[in-house]
Amino acid sequence: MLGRLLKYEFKAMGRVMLPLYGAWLAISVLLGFVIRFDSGRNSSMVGIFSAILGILYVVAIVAIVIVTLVMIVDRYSKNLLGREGYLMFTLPVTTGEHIWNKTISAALWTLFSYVVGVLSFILIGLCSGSGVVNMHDAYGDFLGIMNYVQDNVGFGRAALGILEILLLVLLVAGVFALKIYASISIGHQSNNHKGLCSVGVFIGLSILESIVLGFLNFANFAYTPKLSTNTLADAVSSASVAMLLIGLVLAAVGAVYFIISYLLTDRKLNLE
Amino acid sequence: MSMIECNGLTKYYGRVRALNNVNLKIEKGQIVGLLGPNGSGKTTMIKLANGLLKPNGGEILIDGSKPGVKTKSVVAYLPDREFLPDYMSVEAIFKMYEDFFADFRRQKAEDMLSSLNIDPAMTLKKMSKGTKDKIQLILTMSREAKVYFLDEPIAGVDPAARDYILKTIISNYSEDAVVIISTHLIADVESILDDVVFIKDGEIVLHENADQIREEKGKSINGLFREVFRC
Repeated sequence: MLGRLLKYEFKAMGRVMLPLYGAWLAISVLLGFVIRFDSGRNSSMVGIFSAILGILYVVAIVAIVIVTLVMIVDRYSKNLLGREGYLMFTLPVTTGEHIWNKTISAALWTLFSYVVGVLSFILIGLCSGSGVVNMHDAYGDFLGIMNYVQDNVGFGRAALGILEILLLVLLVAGVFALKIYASISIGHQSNNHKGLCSVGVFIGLSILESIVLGFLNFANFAYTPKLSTNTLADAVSSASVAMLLIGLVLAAVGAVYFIISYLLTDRKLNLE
Repeated sequence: MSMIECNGLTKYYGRVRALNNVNLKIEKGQIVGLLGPNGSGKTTMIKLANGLLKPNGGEILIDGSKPGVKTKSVVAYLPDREFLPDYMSVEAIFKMYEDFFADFRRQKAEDMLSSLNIDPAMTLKKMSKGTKDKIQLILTMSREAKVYFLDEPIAGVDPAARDYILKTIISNYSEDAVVIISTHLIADVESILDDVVFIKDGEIVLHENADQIREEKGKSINGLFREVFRC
């Protein structure tokens, strides 16, 4: 049933996020072309146009960040705990599946936003001509990089590192979403001012989290293992180990938020 | 085994008591009117049966199980409010019901839809409240469920729509099923009820066969209701 839940969750998120991504990429392309025309000429019209597009570009980034956040909050507080909860909680699905569904979706859409961000930079580069213009050169550069990686790190280790980074991005986003869900679940227990309580709880949890992680001396914990960074290969290995440790600690924090959300939603659900 | 069983079911909202020690057994194969004035605990009881609320005491069992995945797959619930995502089209919602409920009969739903001349591609956002209510009813009654909970299905609709709704309910539930209709509009539903439950201030004050009430007390359910709940 989790797969089916995810299908509808992706449709619900996609109808809001995809047009935003489209707009962001379109602005990137326009901005790239305007930069190309702008360089070398001193036309004030093109200058004004590129300034406007520059502002639009920043607005698009801010909008994506805010909308992603708002959607993560809404898909839990409205879709599950609001009037749509009358549908969601009467589906033959477990509470655990509901929370996993929301968490996986939040993490993946955050990752998508990052990917679209990278894509937007590439588009600006390509369209403005300031990036790689010649495909032949680009291919040469690519081969050069690959050879360097192969000689100094090894493909296997490099791929592992990239995979770890991706997983860590997903984990960070998932744990952040779970913190939001736990806050909303706790805030929902209050008879009035549910929203305000949720915000208060979120701030409280964030402070508690930083205290606990500080107590664990998280930074030290992650980096003190005597890791060598003499060569690039060593550095990649060290980073790999550090990411693994950070990932484990994050997963533990996420598990606590999951349990809070689960218990309150499963045992104490009180839909208005 | 009863299809619905409440044992000492109690529910508080903060300090306000909504249900007090409700004991009730409802057998399959009948339409039951859950009748009481506003705020008597009808919706609370139905929400407890669907697992949308958790009791403070006692339990409610559907076909022997507490509300959970198992009961949700055999219970069709029509809430007293709009509960569908309004950006979705009727088609998309039919698909969703088909995906989640094995007992959803798509053909039946489509037949009802075309008899009402509603465009399946239309999103709920563009519909009037009355049309949305009908869509919700169609979804609920197109399931071959064991238990139907219909919370105020005829409140706020015109008399012609009321007839349609009642006709839909009678012609779509299977013989072994239980249909619980909660309402305060007794006169309109009286004719289709087999059993009657009166609920007052969170307590069951009467649970009897509808025909028996008419025979023994010599008055209609509506008449008895006015007597019991006189202000």
